[in-house]
Parts: sequence; C-alpha cells; structure tokens
Amino acid sequence: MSPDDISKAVRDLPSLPAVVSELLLSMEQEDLDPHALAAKITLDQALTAKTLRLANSSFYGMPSKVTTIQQAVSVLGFHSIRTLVTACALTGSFTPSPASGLDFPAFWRHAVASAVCARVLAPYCRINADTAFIAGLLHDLGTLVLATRFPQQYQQAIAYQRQHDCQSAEAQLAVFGVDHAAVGSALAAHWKFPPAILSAVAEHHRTPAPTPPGMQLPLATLIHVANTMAHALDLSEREDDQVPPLSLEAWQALDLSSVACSKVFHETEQLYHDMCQMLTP
Amino acid sequence: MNHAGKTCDIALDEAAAGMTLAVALLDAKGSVLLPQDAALTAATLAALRRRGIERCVVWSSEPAAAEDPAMLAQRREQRLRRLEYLFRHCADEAGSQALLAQLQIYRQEQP
Repeated sequence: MSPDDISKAVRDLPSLPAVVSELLLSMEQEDLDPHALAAKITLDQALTAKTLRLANSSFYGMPSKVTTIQQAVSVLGFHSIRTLVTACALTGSFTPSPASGLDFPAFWRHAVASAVCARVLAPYCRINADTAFIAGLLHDLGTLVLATRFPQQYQQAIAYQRQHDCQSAEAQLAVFGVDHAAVGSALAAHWKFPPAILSAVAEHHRTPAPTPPGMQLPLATLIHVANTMAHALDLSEREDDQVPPLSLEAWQALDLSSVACSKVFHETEQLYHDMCQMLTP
Repeated sequence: MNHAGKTCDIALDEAAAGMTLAVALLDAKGSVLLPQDAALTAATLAALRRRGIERCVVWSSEPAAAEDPAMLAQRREQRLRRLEYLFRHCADEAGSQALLAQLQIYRQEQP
C-alpha cells in the first residue's frame, strides 16, 4: 500500500460530526464555554440520545433521570460529557465487515480496556484523565480503517498473524506494507485530532524517547503502557492474545510501587466491566 | 457493596428495605429507575410497585461457602499459566518482565 492509498482510504471515511471535532479540539483549551458546546451537542439528535442513555446508565448511579444535555453537564460535569459524546460518536463511525475476519467485539473490548487503563494511570503522570481515556479508546483506530476499507487483505493479515504467532502490526506490515499505527495517525490527522492524541495513535508501539527529569510524561508514553497493560490484564478475552513489548524507560517513568500497581490493576478491571456495557457497539 | 458476589433474582414482594440491588432496575424504555448497588428502602419499594416492577436482582446476604483450598490453588495456577502464555514473546524485554512480576503478585493475591 502506498501513502496515496492510505490517504485515499482515510479520505473516503465518513467525516466526524462537526461538534465532535470541536469537542476534541476543546480538550486542550482552558477557556471553553461549556454551555455553548452543550447547545451544539443538542443539535445532533442521535448523539444526544446516545449520550443521555449513557448518562442515565448505572455507571453514573444518578439519583434521578437526566433528560437534557445541559442537565447532564451540570450533574456529571462538562469533562465527563465531552468524553461520553466523543466516545459515542467515534465508536459509531465504522461498520464492521464480516469479510475482514476482524473480531469486532474483541477489538472494542481491547479499546475500552486501554481507555480505562489510561484513565486510571493518568493521575500518576499528571495527564488529564479524559484526554487519556479518549487516546486509549482511539489508539488502534487504524485497524478499523484497514479492516473496513480492505477486508480481503485484512483477512490475509489475520492468517499471517496466526501462522507466525506475531503482533498484529508485524502481520499488517507484511501484507499491507504499513501498520495500524501509521494508518491511524493518517486518520487522526484527517480528523484533526489534537497533536498529543495524534502522537499517541502514531507511537503506541514505539519505544518512547526518555522523558527528562521534571518534565511531564508524554501522552504517547502513557498510551504505550496502557495498551500493554490492557493486553496483560487479558481484558479482550482473545484466546491467542499476546502482550506487546513494554519499554523499560516508559515503565520506570511511571514509577509505580507494588501497592500502586495492584490498585491500578484492580481499578482497571472494575471500571472496564462497567464501561464495556456502555461503549461496545 | 458486593456481598461475596452472589445474587438472587426475587419477586418484588419478597424484596425488603435494606437489601441492595445487584443489577440496575430499568423501565420499559430502558431508562434506569435505580442503579446497581442502590439500597432498597420502603419508599423506593413502594415506588417500584407503582411502576409495575415485578422482580429484581439483589445481592445475596448469605455468606459464601468456604472454598476448597485445592480448587483455589488450581485457579491460581491457571491464572499464572495464562500470564506466562500472554507474555510468551517478551522474555527479553526488561519493561515487560517488570510488569509481569507485578501481575504475578496481583494474580497470586486474588482468591
């Protein structure tokens, strides 16, 4: 596959609802107006309905029913609503093609597991929990592009992976000449994701560059660890799953004690089960 | 609020104040009437009856029977073997080995 083929495949994908692009961009803004954005969300009826259904689910344990986005914003906070709306819109943007052989439910289980794990780890590296969640949810987005746009070749990549018991990226490189991280970052650029999320999508399998002491850990490093940890916690329920290599620098940069590790594993498992019911399409 | 993880599906007439929901109660449209882990009160029970709810699933208050130690050991062994399988290609990665060590401690401590 040439870079042109990738950009054509990405260009042919449906564009994101305008309000979602705006919400993604607003993640890095300090001076946003929650009410104006809430009003915009309301203009997309399908998104509003799905978001309200989530806001009323047992995950948030609301004492009374929330019926408007404005109400949901005031009860749950704007940051939670922004995460919910974005997650709803993105998980609904791809139509599974059975011919690709991709196990879509397992794909989403891993995406949700990585998102939850990134959210739980975020406070340990002073990264915004919502940004971490969205980046975790989207890190393998390129897989969806390959499986929905090129189902036949994708099936070959799956066969290659089974035969060689290798990482999916290695099989994709053998069949397509590119891997899901490269395709995902092309889509992230096309959809104008914030730069930190784009880097996380592009670099989640790479060994991160060392973070100088006192500097904040990059989001890409957090997603590298969260992706690995989600595989290691066996949350996708794929029989032949395997843990990708974890960079020692990234692991040490998080500096988790044994107690903190157990807490992170436990919280991730708990949150995952709640979130899965809501987010898997 | 999880009472040893055991649940009971009971008729609303058998439900009493003080019991805890193990599964959220939904109305016909799928909206949540009461979330999971909500404690039932006389007032909520009356409201649920008015809404025509007939059954609910609550956490069982019975203590879980003590598990056979051999079964527990077997389950731990299975979890550790699964971990080894998941990490099958990471033997040379120091970061992966550090994560594996923490997960082995975590899985051993689980019941």
